[in-house]
Amino acid sequence: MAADDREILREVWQGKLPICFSLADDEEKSSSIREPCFLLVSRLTYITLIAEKILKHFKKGEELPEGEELWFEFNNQPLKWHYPVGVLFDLLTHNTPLPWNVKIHFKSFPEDELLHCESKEVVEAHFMSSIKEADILKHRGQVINNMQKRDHKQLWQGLQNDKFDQFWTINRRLMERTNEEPFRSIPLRIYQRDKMYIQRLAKPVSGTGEPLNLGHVLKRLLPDRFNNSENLNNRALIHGVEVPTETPVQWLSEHLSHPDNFLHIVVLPREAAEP
Amino acid sequence: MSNSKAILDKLEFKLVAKEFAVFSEKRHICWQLVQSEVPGLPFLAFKQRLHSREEKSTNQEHSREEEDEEDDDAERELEDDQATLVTERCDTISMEYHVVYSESYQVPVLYFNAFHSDGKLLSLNEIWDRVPSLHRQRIEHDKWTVITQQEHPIFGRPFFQLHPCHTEDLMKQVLPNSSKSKSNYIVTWLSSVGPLVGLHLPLVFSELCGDG
Repeated sequence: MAADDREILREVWQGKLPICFSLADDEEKSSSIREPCFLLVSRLTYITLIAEKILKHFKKGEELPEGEELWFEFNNQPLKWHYPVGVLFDLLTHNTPLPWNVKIHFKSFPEDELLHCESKEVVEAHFMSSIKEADILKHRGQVINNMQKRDHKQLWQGLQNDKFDQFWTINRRLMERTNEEPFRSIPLRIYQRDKMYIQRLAKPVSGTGEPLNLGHVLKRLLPDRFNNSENLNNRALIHGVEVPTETPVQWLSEHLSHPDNFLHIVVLPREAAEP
Repeated sequence: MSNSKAILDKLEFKLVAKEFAVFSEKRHICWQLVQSEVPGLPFLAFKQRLHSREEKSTNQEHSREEEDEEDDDAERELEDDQATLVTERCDTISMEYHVVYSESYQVPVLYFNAFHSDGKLLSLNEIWDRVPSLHRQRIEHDKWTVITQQEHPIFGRPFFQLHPCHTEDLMKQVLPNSSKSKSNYIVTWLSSVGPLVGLHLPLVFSELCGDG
């Protein structure tokens, strides 16, 4: 990997969002602290991983009573904790000035919309499951299956502790090409508002061996939105940045994937994205 | 249909799912093939109600796990001990099952939901409590990764899922070796994994499998 390209990995890792957490109006305020809690949160993490900090602030570290579970909401939409924080932000906010104002709830967990998240182990299982699936797509699982359990743990700990080197020491093996061959399939998910994300097989090269770019993938998976190469009505964001559609997907996968080894691409109509 | 491969491509899945659904309809068993929004990717759906008598003993010393018990509905003796608080609940659990193809793992995946009679979703612990003990012992160490809550790949709602990462290995062991035996991948797979989550295929489905 070129030195310039390696710099990108570090920049992506350092992406953060200023978030202001405050209690939802219908939460019983007399039993909790009222002042909001300001945190600088990594784009790459899962929002429930900061639960400890939230509970410490709003509940003085007391345990939640039976039947209560922390959940987050923005604009009357429960936040799906299993999407990376940066993806939620890019998808749901537009032209909203920073900090991002997120509401905290303890009661009435919306279980028809949100997965339960009772412990860090649930987040870890979800994270590791994505990594395994990504490696199945890239290398038929050969790299992940040949790693020790402690290597898997190191990936998780690197993410949790926000330690770039700890994470990438192991992750670079998942980003390697086997025998100079591009990945078998690119792990990616495409998000749009009010829709379930799209995840389909996406090869990095065409049948004739030509490298495929982001534009090719978007055209195939979202033909209604990207029906010609001059189509400027929609834009594709990765880590909040509009990525040129000529960028090869193999390169994107190696450099702009989230720690779970997936490319999370947010597609928005252009009017919504511009001031 | 002869199919001895441990994984399926999209077209093969469609064919075995169709065969399964057609057979099911002929025998008046309510598995349905549903066309999803995803082009070319149908899924199978099934509903049932299970009556369950769940007992929770809050005194740990007196709770009994009977290891040879396969049926989670089997009778357990009520403790006649005043120091033990036993709550008993007779409940009808509504179960919904979907068989959805995974392009990543190239196998069908079982998604399911379970609701109490008051409409409340079962918790992961409650789901786990209902896994028959003989299966539980086998997967105890992996328990939180075998059954997990996931976002349904088509509907985006929370569903429980039997993790697909072991399916290929399982199928290598249970699919017939001989190309002369016919089999339906879904019948073979579902009869192996379904019992973990209360799904028992009626014996008549074995007509889709067999020798010759």
